[in-house]
Amino acid sequence: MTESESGPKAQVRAWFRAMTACDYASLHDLMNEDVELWTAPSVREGAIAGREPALERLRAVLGGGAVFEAGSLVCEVDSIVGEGDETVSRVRMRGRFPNSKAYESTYLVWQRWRHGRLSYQFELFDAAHKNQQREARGANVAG
Amino acid sequence: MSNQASARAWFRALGASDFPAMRALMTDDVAFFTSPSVRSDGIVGREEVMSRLERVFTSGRYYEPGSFSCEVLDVIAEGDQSAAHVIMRGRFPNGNSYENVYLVWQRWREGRMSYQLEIFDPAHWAAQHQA
Repeated sequence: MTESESGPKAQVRAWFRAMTACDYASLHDLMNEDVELWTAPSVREGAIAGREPALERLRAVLGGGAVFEAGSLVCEVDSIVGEGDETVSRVRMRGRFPNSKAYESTYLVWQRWRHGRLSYQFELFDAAHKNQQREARGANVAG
Repeated sequence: MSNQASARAWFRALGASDFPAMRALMTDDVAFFTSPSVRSDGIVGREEVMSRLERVFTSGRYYEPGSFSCEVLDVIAEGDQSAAHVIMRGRFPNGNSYENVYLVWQRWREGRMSYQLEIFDPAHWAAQHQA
């Protein structure tokens, strides 16, 4: 986090730091009870609504081992645009699939904050690019 | 014009296929990036970008010409950067309808766009095209 950042931008950094660390207690504390999480439409139509369902999904993605190798996902925030209670972040995600193939992609993440907690998130990424990397032929490039 | 207003002007021009307006809103050295499964490298330079936009919107290869529209849901801006949440709609040449959500990150210099990264879900594009 840069020294001068506060408010929503600091929350953004804390959010992605907690994702990288699979720190579910912090992720829980950073969400409002009525949080909504949206993602790319080919992945899921409609939102995950509510803190407990959102946390359950985050546990499955980050630590469940079915989407990514548990604990392998690293979120690097390149830049944040903020205005009022909204932020948009450009985030580089890196990790490994369960088959050990490497994953890397840029996400744009729109977030809305209320009382220092996340109330809305829409993460958009190229799901086809993710599938291409997971199913890539040849030697595994993770490492 | 603020960067937020410039961003809205950009999407208004895009939705209207108003190429002179789009040209006027770009710097000479503009760089365009899109979802990596579509194109892994950027397009650099105003003429190269214009050529690409004209091909996408007028050739009839990707969309029925004149069918494309943009609905801006939200734009925020800070410093020289802005981000927009946009719904794009149109018709494919095969007659199927297209609707997809885009998040677009832009950088501005003296009221003109110098950088754009649009992220959308090409798998959703393909599913609608092939429906």
